[in-house]
Amino acid sequence: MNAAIRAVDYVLPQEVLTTNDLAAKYPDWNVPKIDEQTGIHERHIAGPEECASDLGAAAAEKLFSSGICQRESIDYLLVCTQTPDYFLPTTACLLQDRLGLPRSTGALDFNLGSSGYVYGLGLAQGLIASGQATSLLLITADTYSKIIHPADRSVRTIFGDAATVTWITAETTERPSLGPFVYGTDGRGGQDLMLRRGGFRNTRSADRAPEEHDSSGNIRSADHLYMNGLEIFSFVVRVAPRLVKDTLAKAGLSLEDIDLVIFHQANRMMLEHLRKSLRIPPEKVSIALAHCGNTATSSIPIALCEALRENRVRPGSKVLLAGFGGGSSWAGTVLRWTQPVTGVG
Amino acid sequence: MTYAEFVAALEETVEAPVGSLVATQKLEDLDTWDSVSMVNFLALADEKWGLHLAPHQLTSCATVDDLFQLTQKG
Repeated sequence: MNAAIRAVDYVLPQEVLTTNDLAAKYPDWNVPKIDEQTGIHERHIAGPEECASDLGAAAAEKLFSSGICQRESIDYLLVCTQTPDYFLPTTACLLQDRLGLPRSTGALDFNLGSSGYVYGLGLAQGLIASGQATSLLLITADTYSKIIHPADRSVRTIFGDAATVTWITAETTERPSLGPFVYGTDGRGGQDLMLRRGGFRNTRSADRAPEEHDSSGNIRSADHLYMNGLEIFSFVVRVAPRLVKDTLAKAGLSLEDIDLVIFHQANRMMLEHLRKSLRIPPEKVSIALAHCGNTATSSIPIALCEALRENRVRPGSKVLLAGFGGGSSWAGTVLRWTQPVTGVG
Repeated sequence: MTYAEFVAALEETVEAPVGSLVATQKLEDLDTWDSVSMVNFLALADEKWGLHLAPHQLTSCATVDDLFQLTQKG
C-alpha cells in the first residue's frame, strides 16, 4: 500500500496583525521596507486562551464538516508542533479525545519547525506502507506569537500562527504518491532559532528573564524566541538548492518535470532568491504568505492548499516540497497529486 | 567585478545615493547597514558573484573597502 494525500486545509486565528498596525505602533521601524522584503502584509495571532490544540482541532473539524472524511475512519494522528499546550500530555492525545477519534487511533506529537510537514508526510508514508495505518491525519499547529517579544522586529514582522490538517490514506497505486524523501540535519544551527528558557535545561521561573537589547534595537529575553536571521539565511542558501537537487535526483526527475515547487514560506525575499539561484520560472514557485506570514511547520501545507484552490495543482501534477528551518533541519519530497478532491474549505 | 560595479551594487543594497559611498566609509555609521541589508548583501553576493559568504565574514568588515576585499577573496 502507498500513502496518498486526500485533502488538505488550514485555519488561521481571528486576530490579525497588519503591516499598518506595526507601522503605527513602531514608527522607528522601516515597516514599508520590511513589508516589501518579506512580502507579508498580515499575520494572524492566536487569542490569549487559544493554543495549538485549539487551532489543530478547528482545522480537523473543518475537514470533517466538509463531509469528505469521516472521523470514525481515522486510525492514526500525527501532530507537529513546537508550541504544545503542555509538555505532557501529548497534544495528539488531547486531540484524539477532543475530535472524537476512535480509541484504536495511534497518536503522537513530533517537534519540528519548517521541515516538519515533509517529515510528517514521510512518517505517514512509512506507517501506511508498513501496514500500521490506513487513514491518517497529519496536523501542524503552532502559536509562535506567544513566545515573541512585541518589540522584536526580527521575528514579530515575520511569524504568524496557524494550523493545518492533511488527510492521508492507503491506496493501491502502482507507485507511491509521496516520495522519495531526502532529510538533513545540522545541530550546530540549533542556537540560531531558539527559545532559551522554558525547557528543563533552563526552566522558566516566576521571575521574568531580563530583557536584552540587540545591536539592531530589538528587545527580547531568554523567555522569547530568538532568531539569527543572518545565519538562517546563510544556512538556507547553503542547504536548500542542494536539497532540491538531491530530491530530484533521488526521484529520477529534473526541474522541467516538476509542475510546482513549494518551499517553506520563510519570506518573499528568500523565496525569490532560491527561485533565481535554481533558475525556476516564477509560475512554477508558490508564494503564499502575504495573508498569514511565515507559519513555520504550517507554511508548506497552506501553500499547497492555496495552489489547489488556484488550480495550480491538478490530478497528475508533480509538486516538489522543500522544508528547511530550525534545528537546523531540512527535508524534501515529491508529491504526485492523484486525487480529484482538492483543498477543502 | 570592478570596484565601481561593487560600490554600485552596495549602494543599491543599502539604499544610499549613487556615488555617495567611498572606500573608507565606516559601515557602522551607515544607518541602513542593518541585519536586513546584511541579508540582502549575502543574497547579492550569491546571486551576482556566486559567492557564498559566511555571516561572520560580513560582520567582521568595518569599512566599504573591507567588504570589497571580502568579495575579491571569494
